[in-house]
Amino acid sequence: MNSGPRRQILDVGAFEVSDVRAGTETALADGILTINIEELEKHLSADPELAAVSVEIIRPGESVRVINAIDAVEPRIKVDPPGADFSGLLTAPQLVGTGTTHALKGVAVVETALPVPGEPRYWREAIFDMAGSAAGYSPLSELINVVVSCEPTTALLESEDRPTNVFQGTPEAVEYNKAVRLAGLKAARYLAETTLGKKPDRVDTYDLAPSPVNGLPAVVYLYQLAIPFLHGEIAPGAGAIGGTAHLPTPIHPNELLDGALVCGWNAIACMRELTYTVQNHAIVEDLYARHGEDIDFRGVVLFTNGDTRAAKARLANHAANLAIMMGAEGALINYAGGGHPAVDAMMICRNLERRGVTTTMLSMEMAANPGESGFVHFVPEADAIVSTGNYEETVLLEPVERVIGGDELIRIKGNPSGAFEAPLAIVMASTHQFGGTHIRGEEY
Amino acid sequence: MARVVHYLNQFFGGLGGEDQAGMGPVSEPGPVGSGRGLTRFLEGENRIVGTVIGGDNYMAQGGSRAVDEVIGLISRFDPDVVVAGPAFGSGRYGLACGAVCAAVIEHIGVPAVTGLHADSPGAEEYRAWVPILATAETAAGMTTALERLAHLASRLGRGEALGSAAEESALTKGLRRNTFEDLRGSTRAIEMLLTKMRGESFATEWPLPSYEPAEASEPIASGASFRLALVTEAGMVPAGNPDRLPSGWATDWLSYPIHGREGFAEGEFESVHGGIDTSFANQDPDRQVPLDAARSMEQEGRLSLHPELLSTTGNMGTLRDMTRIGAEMGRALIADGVQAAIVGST
Repeated sequence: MNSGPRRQILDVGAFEVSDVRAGTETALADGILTINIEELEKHLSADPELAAVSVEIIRPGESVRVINAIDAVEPRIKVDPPGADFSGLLTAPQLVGTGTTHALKGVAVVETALPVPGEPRYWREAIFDMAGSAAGYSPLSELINVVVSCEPTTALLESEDRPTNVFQGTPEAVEYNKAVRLAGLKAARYLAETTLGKKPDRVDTYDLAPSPVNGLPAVVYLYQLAIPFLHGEIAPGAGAIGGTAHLPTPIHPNELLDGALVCGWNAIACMRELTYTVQNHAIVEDLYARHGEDIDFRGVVLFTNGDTRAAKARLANHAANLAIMMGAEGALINYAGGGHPAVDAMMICRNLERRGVTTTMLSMEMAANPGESGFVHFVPEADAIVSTGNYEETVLLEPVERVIGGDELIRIKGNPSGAFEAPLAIVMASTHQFGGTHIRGEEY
Repeated sequence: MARVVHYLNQFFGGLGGEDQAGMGPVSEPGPVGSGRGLTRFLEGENRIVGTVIGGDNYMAQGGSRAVDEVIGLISRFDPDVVVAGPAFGSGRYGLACGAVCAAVIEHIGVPAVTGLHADSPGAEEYRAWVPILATAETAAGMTTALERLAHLASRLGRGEALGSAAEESALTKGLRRNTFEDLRGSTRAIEMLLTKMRGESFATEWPLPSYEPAEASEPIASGASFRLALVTEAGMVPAGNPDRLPSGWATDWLSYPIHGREGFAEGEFESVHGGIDTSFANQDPDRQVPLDAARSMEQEGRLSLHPELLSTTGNMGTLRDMTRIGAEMGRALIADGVQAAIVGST
């Protein structure tokens, strides 16, 4: 029986939110989201991994600093088919990227969580300010944030376990961090339930149907993953955490936009693959906006990184094969950040250019002093790079009236509400790999 | 009125060609040689109060002492601003102009400016510290260069700050900083890709470094006997780090005798590298520098081992320092008859 449309079209119904307030009933009216804080806290506290959950609302311009941030999620709910929210995490793995999804725009759920003894802390520092000079660096500073602060159980806090290495926490610490992320996803769905039965302000349609205009430049996006959940599993072989890098895979861009991919670990804050930045993936959205206009968008190839020379060669050859199979004449490649991933991304650039595909890369810079090149690795073929900013540059964080997410910073000494200088690396999504911000490095 | 002092080499100072390149620095009151052209373009009451002339070879070989001599002569004129050159694309002269300007700024404490071609060695060496007007490659660009240098000198002499490199036709410092664009990164990337696909000119936002990857030498013929050296950038030093090798930003290298050692025992050597987890290397330093394995191959008669370990710290090292350290180590090993080296990475 063959009855399906053989199409994958996603409608995202956007509800613009002008303010979020605490109230007696969780509801959306005239662009104002009201939250019954107590009810939401109760809903999220049911998880035995978490000792306590508290919810606060913060707005742009308020003198607030969020510390120990974990992830950010745009409130969304699947309307059609229903029950497919955050595939593999809040639900069994589902078909996503098709049908209708409702989204609250201008709002993010942000989780914070105190670090526990069994988890790596080297890259754990993650902050953003809602006002002052540092507020211009994080995309979260421009949103109204519903901050979900999670506390670990006493047993976990007093554990004497130590992480295996800078990447891997103990099983208990991994479960705790997953519970924190799930709390954020649940809060996001809970808030988006307020849109059910309502008409969105705008519907954005994502349809990868063949371009109606012939002869437009065919472009494939090669997306280097950090370590996300993909339909509920940490993407196989992602990140340089041992294990064999899996071969790159094509993926429908609508899946990325529709909750199949969720932040999976606490990477350096500036390059952390926030769920919010994937749901609103800047490269995918920009390619879609021009699909059929001046670009023929052919789809996305996911790739990770190998940690041996052979693994990198296999991965880089296969990624180029897939892009060429998809008809790429041009390719955008993003670099996930870090050491190993730079090599894989550059090898793919070289392979594509040598096989006749024109490339442009998006890359963050890593130069602790202005005289360093900031490159981990490069190939001469990488002659077209968009800089998403140098994350080692020092920025001044001004004093704030209030801090959410804990009483102390992890690696930075001093009062978390005070003024301090720190590398941009610790500011959430400040130089993130999708080019969703306006920062760049320049020569002077 | 600003008092301008001009620095020239023997050729542009009118004292001779290559035959005079060995001359030590001399000074003369007022403008000399190309300084007469510079005078024409100086604004208002500004004037060249003196000229210092140094021979190309003297300056190239004399190092900081030669620069100190020039600085001594310049300071006697009590300058408000110093102009060096322009030296265009020339090697020795451009380096001397850069060194003189850098020393004027540091030691006399007044502004200095020179004019060099972007690809000249002096530009590469001094662009981060010295304002450098971008000039043509040869003296055919003299008039334009003098006019612009005079304009810059007049403003610097008044204590004005210079604008961006583009505004001043100056070379960039070659440094990086963050800035904000109107378009977000993803949109800029698509524009760059489409421009590149159309075959039109585009400007990468992040130019690749200008160095070439080092090529490995030919392998040693199988069965040949050879001398092997162990080299490390892991900051491997005798326990306690007696010579205070830094954990990062190293600018020098050290050598330690390993003659008679079968391997490195825990507690005898340690890694002071600040960019890696050194606990494994410190438990068993042979994991970082494979002395035990090399020694057993030596006992099998397959190689002979150089009696010293060459060590530095690669962590946060600048390209410039590390390139120099690598060249110095290489020269030392070749002089000692070494044919092969193992440089373990961290």
